[in-house]
Amino acid sequence: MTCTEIRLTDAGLEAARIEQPSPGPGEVVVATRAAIVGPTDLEAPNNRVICGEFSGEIIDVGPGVDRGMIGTAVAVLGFRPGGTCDRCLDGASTACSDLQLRGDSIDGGLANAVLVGAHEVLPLPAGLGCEAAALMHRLARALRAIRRSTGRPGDHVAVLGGGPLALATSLVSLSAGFGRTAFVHDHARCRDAVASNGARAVAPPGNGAGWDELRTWLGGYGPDVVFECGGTPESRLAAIDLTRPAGSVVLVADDATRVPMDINLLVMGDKRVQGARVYTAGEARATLELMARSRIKVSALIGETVEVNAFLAAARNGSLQSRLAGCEATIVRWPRDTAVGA
Amino acid sequence: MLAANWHGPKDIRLEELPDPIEPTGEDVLVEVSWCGICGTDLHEYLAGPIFIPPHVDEVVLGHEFSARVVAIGDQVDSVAIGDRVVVIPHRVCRECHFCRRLMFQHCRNLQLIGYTRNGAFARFTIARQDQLVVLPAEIPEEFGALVEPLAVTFHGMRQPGVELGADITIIGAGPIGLSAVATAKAAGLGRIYVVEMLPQRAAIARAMGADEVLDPRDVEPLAAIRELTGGEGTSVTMECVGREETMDLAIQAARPGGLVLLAGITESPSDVDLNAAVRDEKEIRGCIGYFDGEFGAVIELLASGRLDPAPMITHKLELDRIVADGFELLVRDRDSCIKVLVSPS
Repeated sequence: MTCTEIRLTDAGLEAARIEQPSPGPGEVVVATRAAIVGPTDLEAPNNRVICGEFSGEIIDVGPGVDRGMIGTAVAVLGFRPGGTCDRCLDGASTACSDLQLRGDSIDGGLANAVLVGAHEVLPLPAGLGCEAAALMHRLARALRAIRRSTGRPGDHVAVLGGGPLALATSLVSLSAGFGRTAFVHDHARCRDAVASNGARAVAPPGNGAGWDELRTWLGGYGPDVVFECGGTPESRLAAIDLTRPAGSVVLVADDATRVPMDINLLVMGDKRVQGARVYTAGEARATLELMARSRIKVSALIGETVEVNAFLAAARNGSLQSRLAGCEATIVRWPRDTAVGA
Repeated sequence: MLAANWHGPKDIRLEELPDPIEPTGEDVLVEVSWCGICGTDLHEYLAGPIFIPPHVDEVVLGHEFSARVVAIGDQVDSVAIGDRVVVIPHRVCRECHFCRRLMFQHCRNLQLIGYTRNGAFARFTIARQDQLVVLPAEIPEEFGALVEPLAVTFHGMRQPGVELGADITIIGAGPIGLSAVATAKAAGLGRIYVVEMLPQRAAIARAMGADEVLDPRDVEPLAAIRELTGGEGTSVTMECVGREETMDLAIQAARPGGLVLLAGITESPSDVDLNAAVRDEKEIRGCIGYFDGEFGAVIELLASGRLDPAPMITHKLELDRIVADGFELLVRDRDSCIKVLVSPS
């Protein structure tokens, strides 16, 4: 039996037919039904199956896996811990030294037969479809950021950043019982989406008095927690400056640039900086439950939904890049029995 | 009374000042027993004003001290004349946003004995009754003067993420680094690694409980810490120096998922690798000051003998020698001079 996978090669995105993988012990094969494609997927390593965020249906299981799982709709964890480092052995695999990200350091999910571990899939709760479930990865990252923070219901928070992760974090934060939530984002459409869900959304104030106004609105001394999703040194510094004394900053975006700063901002301010990179399976499950109960307004996250063949056509005619430019997700649908690349 | 009065950088004058007036309300007049010269006092001496407000022309320094109660205001009910006490330098407003949330160290109207109010390098000073913690009879008054610096690092040891049996790297073995060694040991941490290049400080660190002291002139500290910890780094690191390279070391030497406590004050901006917080889920936390209750906890540990700061006390002197044999000695001889205690009485 053959299947189709879509890889990024030097020639661009290419669909290829290959032999459908056979699951080994403890493995399952997932036929992707929905995958999220963003600009970073077009920067994946050469010859990589793209998409770290996807959901689908189990179509085969290996030895030791309940055959009753075949046909189950699942979301797939967007990463794979190594499993052997001290962190993993301590049960803290989110800090794994050998963590691999799907669609980046290992193959992703834009294929109609993806081999994954049975422990890497999460059955979808009733009422949650594959298209929404494909957003689980970014929302679970946001949920972990909130759980790792010192923020408690009633606290005031701010979300800074200009990308999809900031949008996801603000929407999850609105389900966390926080007091006032401020959303500082470049894109007016994202600001509108978050504001309509109850936050105060503003454009980045630059160096102006807008920060002071925001600080005042957030309790007088700044927010209890700032979720920094921009990843730039400027945004990180603004986050540390904005948070109140003894408050915390959670860095959600990954960026290796060092931050030139007065470290006394942290020391004298008794502030803390934490990071959130991925999430646990339990956090992914909790995210899916919140999504299924409509506690997270996922509709604001979705930009465009396209069929897989239309997606490939856009890749070939050069229109894909511009279609992926927004913060909202582009969902690629892969219906059952679709002949791809024809 | 004779007092060490700060007038500016390198300008601490021994002057006769009027005795404080009789206390009223909740105020208490105390006679200072011993007062330690803090690293921050040294910063004020060399390059102040730092904590001293810019508009203050002169102030008596000294905030790490033990004392005896000699007079009380008419509303004082928690101490009595003759009590031996340790004084919490924070005088808080009890009304602001942070005080109402019991976060007194962030009081918006905070006054600090020895910086914004006259301190304890003088025979007498004034504190409010809620700043006083009674010192049990079994604790020497010299140790009482060390409660404040011990409380700074004890506050660090009480942070979430600092766990029983966890290993720790302490960078720097000055007074705060050595306090960290003592409080880490008392708090039940596991192996204690110290990075220090000065030999006498290293020896004191070992005497106070460090398992290994790494001299950066002999070994590459990061590689050594990783080798000692199976390649991972320690669960907790505490930076007690305040330099960019030691901050980097503190961040790198923490294991993935570990906690980085920053206690050192820097004199200039630094480039900081904040992404370690994301990449390895490390937590980087400023660590300054203490909660009031932590003074009492430190005193309990001293009383039980689980905290022994004796090796930190390297010099004791009278107030009239404080500049030449105190501040100047600390500048001249960083290695052998750790904690100088001054007796103004």
